[in-house]
Amino acid sequence: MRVITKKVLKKIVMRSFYIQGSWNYQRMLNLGFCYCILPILDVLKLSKEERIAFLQRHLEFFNAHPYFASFALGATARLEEQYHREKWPSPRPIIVFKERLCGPLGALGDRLFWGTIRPLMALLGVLISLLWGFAGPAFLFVFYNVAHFYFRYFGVIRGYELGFDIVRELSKRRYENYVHVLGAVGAVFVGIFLGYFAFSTGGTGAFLFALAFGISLIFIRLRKPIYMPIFFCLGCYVLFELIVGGQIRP
Amino acid sequence: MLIKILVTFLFGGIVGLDTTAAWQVLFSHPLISCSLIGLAFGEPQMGLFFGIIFELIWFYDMPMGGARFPEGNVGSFLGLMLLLTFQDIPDIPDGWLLLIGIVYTVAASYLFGATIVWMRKQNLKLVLRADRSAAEGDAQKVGRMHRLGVLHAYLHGAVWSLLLYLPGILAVRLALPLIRRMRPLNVEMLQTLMLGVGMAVMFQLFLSRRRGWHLLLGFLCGLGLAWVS
Repeated sequence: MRVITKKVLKKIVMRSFYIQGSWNYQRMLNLGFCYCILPILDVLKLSKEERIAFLQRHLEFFNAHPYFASFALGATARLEEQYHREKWPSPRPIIVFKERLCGPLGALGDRLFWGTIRPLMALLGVLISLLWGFAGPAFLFVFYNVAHFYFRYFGVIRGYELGFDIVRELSKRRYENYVHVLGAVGAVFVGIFLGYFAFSTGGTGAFLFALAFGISLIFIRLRKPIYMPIFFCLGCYVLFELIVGGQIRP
Repeated sequence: MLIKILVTFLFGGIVGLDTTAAWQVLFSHPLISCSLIGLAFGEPQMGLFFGIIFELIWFYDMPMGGARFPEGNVGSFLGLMLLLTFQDIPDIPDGWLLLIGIVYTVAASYLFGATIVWMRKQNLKLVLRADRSAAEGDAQKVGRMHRLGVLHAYLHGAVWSLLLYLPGILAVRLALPLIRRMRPLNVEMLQTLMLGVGMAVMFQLFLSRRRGWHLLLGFLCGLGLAWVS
């Protein structure tokens, strides 16, 4: 019989919003992970020695993407339950399982959220803001968080359902397909933005935009810090304005 | 003025917290935070304008794992607060306040980013305390250490926001006589320049996966959209 109820899993979901609160360079998300999984400690009814062992193994090194860490939280909750209920000889599989999940969870989450969904939503937010004002920030906040909350919740629930098998779920090509499709959508919207901006501003505005875009791209390709193209473009513009005496107008 | 200082302290902590330490619901992103602050201080257009300028640029350095990054979210918020502080002062030529706001935002972002490294190093002390509590089997204390980490992140954001905001005010006040003698700058052109930088970041991010055809398709759609509208 399962002792970890949906209510306990929901507590884990709520705590997962704070998982990065004590991020450190030595063991990264360890304390955050331990904090999130603490609700299961009460329902497992462990002896003092078992509690100590539980806390110590979840304070070991752990790192993942903060949203995708939910999969590890759910799956680890399931394994802890099995370990205590079925009296496994050693908790070693749990420790190894967590270690092995760090890489895939970090890589998938970084590529999907940090590298694709977040910039895509921001780009759309800016585009909508330029066209319809405050609809842009509202769009960014609402639509991004639909995906965000879904992964936080779904990760814990699905992780708990599958336990060890979550590895198979994460190795599916599904997430790679998301990255591929959303990346293509992002490229289309970058094109739309460039085309729209070039045509609608016209004249000096389009010229300055193209100039800033080109110069920045060179700096970016050379892997220079972002303050360099910003200061370079602003410096050139201000110098030119001062020399020609406020002649640059849209 | 006192209200602005208080808002900088309270809201700076929330923005700092949302960037990496908690929630991460994008509340801290310039487009959202600057719009909200603009609305709160009765300058919605200024807030939105500033948010649009900085929303895309900071994707160049993303806060992944242990990466060192300029904290553009807090920086943009502080830049807007500086603009709001000086918006009512007369005789400042057009565009100069925005230019100063942009330069200040970039500088504040890098400075704040450097302090995050320090904060994360300090978190190790909490982890070591949690280790000791775990050895005693005290789960409540372990949880408390983590909550202290969250509080630490909030206070770090709040205190450093204030420490960066106050010198910014002083610097602008000192520079005011010089700024008043300048010729005006075009605000729209400044926004255009910054959007150019931001779009270059987006271009690099999405085109690095060899999606030239998608880009071209989008470009043609964009031209069509502009022509129709």
